[in-house]
Amino acid sequence: MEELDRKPKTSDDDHVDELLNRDYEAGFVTDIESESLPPGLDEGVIREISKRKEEPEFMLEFRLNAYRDWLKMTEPEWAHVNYEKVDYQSISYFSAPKLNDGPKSLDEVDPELLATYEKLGISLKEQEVLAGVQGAPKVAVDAVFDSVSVATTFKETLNEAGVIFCPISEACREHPELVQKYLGTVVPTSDNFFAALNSAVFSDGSFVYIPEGVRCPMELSTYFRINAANTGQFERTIIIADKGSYVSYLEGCTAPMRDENQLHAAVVELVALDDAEIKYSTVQNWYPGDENGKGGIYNFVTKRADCRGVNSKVSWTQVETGSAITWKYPSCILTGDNSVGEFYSVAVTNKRQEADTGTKMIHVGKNTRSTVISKGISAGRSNNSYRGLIKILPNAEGARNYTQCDSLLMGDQCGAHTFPYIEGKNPTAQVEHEATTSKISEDQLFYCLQRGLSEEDAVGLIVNGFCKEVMKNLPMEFAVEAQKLLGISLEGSVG
Amino acid sequence: MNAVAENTLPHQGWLEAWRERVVHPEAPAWLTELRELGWSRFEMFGFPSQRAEHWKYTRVSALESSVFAPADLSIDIAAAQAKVQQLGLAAEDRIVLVNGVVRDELSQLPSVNGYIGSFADLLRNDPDRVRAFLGAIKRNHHIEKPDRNNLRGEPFAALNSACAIDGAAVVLDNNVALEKPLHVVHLYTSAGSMPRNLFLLGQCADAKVVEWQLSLGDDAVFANAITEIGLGENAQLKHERVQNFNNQSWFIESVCTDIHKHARYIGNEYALGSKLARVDTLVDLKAPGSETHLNGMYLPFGTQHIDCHTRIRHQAADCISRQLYKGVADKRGRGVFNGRVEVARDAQRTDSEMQNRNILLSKFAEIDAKPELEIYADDVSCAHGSTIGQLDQTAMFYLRSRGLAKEQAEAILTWAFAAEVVETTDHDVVRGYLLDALAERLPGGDKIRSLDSDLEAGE
Repeated sequence: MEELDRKPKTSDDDHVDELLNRDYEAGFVTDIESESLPPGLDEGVIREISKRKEEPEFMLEFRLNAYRDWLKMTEPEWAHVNYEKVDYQSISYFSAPKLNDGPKSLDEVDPELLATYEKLGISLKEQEVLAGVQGAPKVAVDAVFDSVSVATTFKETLNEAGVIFCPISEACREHPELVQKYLGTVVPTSDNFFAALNSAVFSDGSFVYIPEGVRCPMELSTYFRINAANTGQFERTIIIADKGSYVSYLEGCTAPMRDENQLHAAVVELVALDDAEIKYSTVQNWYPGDENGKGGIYNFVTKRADCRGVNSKVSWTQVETGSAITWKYPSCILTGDNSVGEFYSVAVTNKRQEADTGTKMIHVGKNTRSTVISKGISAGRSNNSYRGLIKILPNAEGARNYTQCDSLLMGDQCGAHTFPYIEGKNPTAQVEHEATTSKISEDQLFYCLQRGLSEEDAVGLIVNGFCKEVMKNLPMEFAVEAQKLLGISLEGSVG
Repeated sequence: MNAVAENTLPHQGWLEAWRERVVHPEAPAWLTELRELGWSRFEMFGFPSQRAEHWKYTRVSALESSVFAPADLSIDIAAAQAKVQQLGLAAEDRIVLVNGVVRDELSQLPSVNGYIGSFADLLRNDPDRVRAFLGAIKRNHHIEKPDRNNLRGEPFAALNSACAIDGAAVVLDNNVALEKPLHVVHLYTSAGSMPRNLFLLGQCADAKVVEWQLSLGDDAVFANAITEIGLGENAQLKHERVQNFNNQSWFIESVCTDIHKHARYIGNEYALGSKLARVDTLVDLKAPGSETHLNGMYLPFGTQHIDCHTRIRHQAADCISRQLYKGVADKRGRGVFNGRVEVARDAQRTDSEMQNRNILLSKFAEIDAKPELEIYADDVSCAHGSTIGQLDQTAMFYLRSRGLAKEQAEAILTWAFAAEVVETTDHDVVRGYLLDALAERLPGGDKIRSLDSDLEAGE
């Protein structure tokens, strides 16, 4: 919060210096005993993961199929990013904090773990609410630490509403019919290199099912934390919104500062049936590496929503400030007639970060609509690319798309790129794409400065204004955090 | 993905035929070297597969199975003569090429300080003048960076370097201005041709060139052209290109332009014909104050596939680029527009705009648009916009309510849509040709013809 409050006391040089020198806040390591599988990947490792998770037979089969697909695939190279290739045999594919029999309630969760989340500002105590704002709505949290989910809050309240919100490993055991019905239907195992890898080795993640006609009584949230060294995190999230239901889901992530690159290859599948709506928000703050590009997370994520039902709606909102390399395209397949897809994104890159991110909107059904608003901010020596696909299939009568991508350049060593793909196959559809690239306007800056704002604050103000269209789509608690993050990510990039 | 593994080489008989054709024992060593480089590059690349990013929407693999041997050069001059007449160019300054070779008997060459005429003659008589430029301009764009996943026209350019024997050459000395527009008329009768054009304008030179790429007859043609353009300081070239092959023909072209200080290149492209056309327009703004305007119109009708690629590289500060490309696709036609603006780190104060507008007239037509920006400088103003839609339904309703048939209303609105690009031409003969071409294709086309002449009469 202090960053937001600092506008009035601008001339405080010490304060600015302190902010400038501060780095990645979430970069600490929790000293906790963990059990890991030795590095390396083969069918034995996959069988072992499946065994430890006590999964039903179909899951093992799913994993092995995915693994065999993965072996035949090559890593994609088309993205506008450069990075040292990952040695997939040197990563440990499973790491879990040592737990005895799993906690029965929050009281039994290792206090060290609770303290970690406390430190990150995520309270796992049910009576507390996020960000300390009185009267803010309650948020149910699923905390994923390395490869396993360590705690899920508010389970009972959700149970009463019929909502299933649990770690996916638990869902495999307790709701196998639902998992089997939906797993891999939006992102098939052979979809792409990283999705195949994830399907083979995914360890945990959240599973959400909202029954017919239910409006989820609170925001659902998963907080991902990579802690152990030499591990990759492969989580899988599935959200199913049955007919006429609504859910808002938030996702946050951090990792310690380490010199080596760590891989995060997640898959998120969303299914919206008739008249259902899913709002999916992400604040991504993985460790971005240092000034020289050493260390940081590789964020190679496949996120896709299938708007299967008529009048269904999926909205992706993301604020991306972290990761050394980002490769991420949250997409919507608009199958149902009148379905709606939205994508709001702010991607900030600084130092040596590289981001290639955007969305895909596939219009299949009639009168489907999509909106894409993407704001890219590049600073330092980073590269920030928007890559998006709008595809109108022949049957998408009356489909409508509006895309706007704006890029802001801060500094002369960074790059901002736009690579839109637009494919129209229906004459009644309308597709519009607009993009601009510029730097912060001298006039705006001058105006702020002569009003007594420091340069740092002025830039903060202008950047927040630039991102406003996206920020207003975030749930309130997240908007506060995201705004704070924007400030931190861009520190030191002005002047 | 390894794109090259899946690229394919053409039928062996084809290559052999071309190799024989271009053997010239008395050619200078450097030229033979250049040709060999072309051969080896082409054999390395093969025809690009759709896995190559810039060929994602255009499939040329059918080329490998067809044999386009070098075209016969002994053709009926009368037919070519008639075509020139029919275009209304009988009185104009012109270079006429048939199957890629300049025919003096059909041409009317203005005399200027410099050289206008056959590229082969220039090469024979004054090789040193050409040597410095030949391939240099294109090399900047093509050969230096043979990045396999990023192949554009490189394979075809390499093939052209290996096989070209003639083309149009326009070399203007400093301070020379062409008084009349120069028409470069390429006519093709059958089989394969690989013309190579070179336009070099000295300091403060000024010219208007209209290039015509047309079929003569109904035979299938494979034309693989390269035009290299170099503009000296303060030079200006207005270059219009009309392409109207028959529906059996393949047309692949690279137009590579280097622009120096305060020089200006205006390129208008009108792509009407062919079974498959792929044109790469590549412009390098190499020095401060240089400027380019590219306008384009592509009309894939029937089962045509027309692919327009542009790439403008801002390599110096204070340069300006503007692009306006419009596409209309009907029946099962497919149009591709891929525009790219690259701004280098030092190219501060770049001012760039790209507009791309498309209309689909039929349920089976397709447009694929990819307007791209790649920017490494911070003090820039770059924007692009792209749309795909249909004819304005309220405008349709208005015209229908005035008693026009549906086809007529469609024709008028389509012509109006294209007009923004068409009206940028300086030449009545080009405008008239485009109007006729559109009128011929649209069912209600007669209406635009009569409307146009009414308007003219009114004036």
